[in-house]
Amino acid sequence: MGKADITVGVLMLALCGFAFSQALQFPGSESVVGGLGPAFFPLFVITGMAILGLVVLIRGLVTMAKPKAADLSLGMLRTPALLLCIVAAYVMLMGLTGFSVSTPLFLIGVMLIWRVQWTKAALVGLGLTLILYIFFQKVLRIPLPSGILFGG
Amino acid sequence: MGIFGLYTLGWPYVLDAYVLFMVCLGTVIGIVVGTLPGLTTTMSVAVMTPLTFTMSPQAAFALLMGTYCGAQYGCAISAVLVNIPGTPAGLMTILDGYPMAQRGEAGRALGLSIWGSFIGGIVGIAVLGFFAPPIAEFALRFGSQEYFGVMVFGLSVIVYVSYGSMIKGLFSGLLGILLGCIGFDPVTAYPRYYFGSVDLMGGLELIPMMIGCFGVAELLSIAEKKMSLPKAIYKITIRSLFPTLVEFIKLIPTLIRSSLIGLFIGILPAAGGTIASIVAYGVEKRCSKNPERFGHGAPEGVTAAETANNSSTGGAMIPFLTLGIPGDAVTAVLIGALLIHGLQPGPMLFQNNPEVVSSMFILLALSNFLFVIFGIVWANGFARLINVSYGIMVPTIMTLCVVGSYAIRNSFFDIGVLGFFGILGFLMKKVEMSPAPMVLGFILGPMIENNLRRGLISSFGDFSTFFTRPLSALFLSLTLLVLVSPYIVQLFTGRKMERIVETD
Repeated sequence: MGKADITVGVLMLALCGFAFSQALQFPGSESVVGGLGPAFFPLFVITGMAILGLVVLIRGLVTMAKPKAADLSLGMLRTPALLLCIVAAYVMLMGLTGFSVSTPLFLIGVMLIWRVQWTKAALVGLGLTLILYIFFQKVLRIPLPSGILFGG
Repeated sequence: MGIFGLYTLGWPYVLDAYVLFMVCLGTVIGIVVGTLPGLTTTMSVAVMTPLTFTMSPQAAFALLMGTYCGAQYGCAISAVLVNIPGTPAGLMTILDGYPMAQRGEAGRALGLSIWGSFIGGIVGIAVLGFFAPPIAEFALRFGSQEYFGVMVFGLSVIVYVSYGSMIKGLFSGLLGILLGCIGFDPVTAYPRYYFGSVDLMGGLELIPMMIGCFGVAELLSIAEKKMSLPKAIYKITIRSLFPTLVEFIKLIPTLIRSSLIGLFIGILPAAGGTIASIVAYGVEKRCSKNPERFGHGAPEGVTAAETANNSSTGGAMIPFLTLGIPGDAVTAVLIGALLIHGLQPGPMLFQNNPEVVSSMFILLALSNFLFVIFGIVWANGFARLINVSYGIMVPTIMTLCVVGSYAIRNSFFDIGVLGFFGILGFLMKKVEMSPAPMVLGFILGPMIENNLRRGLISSFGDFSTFFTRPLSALFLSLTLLVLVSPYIVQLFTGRKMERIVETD
């Protein structure tokens, strides 16, 4: 993987460093008679992770000379990132307006972006919202968010 | 529980209109999801889990077992018709199933996979029903040390069968264990890694994490590739789904061999349907009089792959139910489902809730019958599903992921957890790091720590207790063997051992 491995290795080690510094503040083994304190297990796991991170980093440095096509690039992340932003907006809207208003908007919105026919999108969006609403609220009796604007 | 207890105890709970409806519903949903290219069995079971929240355990497992079995079969549909494996095990079905479909024998290939799956599944469940109670009985005598050994072993095998590099797989598993440390520590109740958040104090919620890793991450991959699929235009007649008597008799040896292989491989912790179907396919090719037909539409190939794949599902249930160790990603999800119903998988489950274990076995068998019926009656309808565009599929399932995560404890925080692990799982896959070991580590980690620390307290801080008790020592040595063996093989033969490719 070459370059990507270097990035991944560095990230792995950074994560270990962060988790390690946190774990040092946990009470040590002296706090438990004949046993291990809360810090032992995380520290043990982090040590293992750090060794693996180092291996990945070194392997990345060694194979850097021969880069492969599979390296990460930001361009290919555009569609997933767009989708995530829309989902985040959907969740925020759900907090405001509740499930039954935000869900059809989300469904129909995404379908239109991906060029699904208007009629089909509206049908699926409204139909699915209705089915989910009945299934959760009436059949399973699991409350769905009602939002701070319309419900209490 | 007697030998036959597993087959009989659960019937009063299963023969209930609601439970029977759920198993039918689950099977249909499973076939539908399995057929949609790109959606995996693990994902379908994970997304369905929150829906079972308010159901009785029997109804919940009716839905989940139905989904599991249905999806296993549904994957064969997309494998045969459009050359896309829904599950890793589907890889072997493609080899001969797709050439058969191109030859105009789509119906015959689907028929073979239906009947192969059915026979394999029933054999697996029937035979393993005998093994589970004695193993559970034996495991009752396990102490903390033995559990520690078995769980560490389970984790190591899981790392081994996951795709990508083993180093990264191990890292993923350890990361899961570390994530499992979040919240109150199991012995002194000291809150770790909670960053001042009340939501994190009790630990991360398993279900949103799983749906994130297996659901959202998968949807993001589909969105990235913008899968455009070849249209499936095959017309399937119901007649073609039934093999002729002569053909069936010719396939009997294949069915027996593949069922047994699947069964045996299924019992091994963490070695699931993928390996079973690969081995069975290989054996069949070697046994065949004309092996050159394999890969060009040999009916035996399809039959072997599907039979072994399904007979291993009964087997994978064994370590999961008797020891509480998830065998693969799907059983990890099922552990999550058991836990939300207040049931702890492991030998005590056989003692305290034998009726739950028994109904799970019965429901698994029942859904095997159901997917045959639905698979035959609605074959054409399911085949048409393949043409559903990703533009409809992705937002629909995304909604289910979001709502399902919220519904576990009515918390927007859990939707955040879902999103975080969706992104993490997606990025991990990008760098060839499988997220499955992370989820398994997250489940096993707290159990490993708990048993380690309890074992040490009972031995007054002496670590040798894990190596002097024979069973614990056995499993720890096996762990070492599993982790080191690929490198030793490489050292002696100068060749890299081929590893199993797992796509979910």
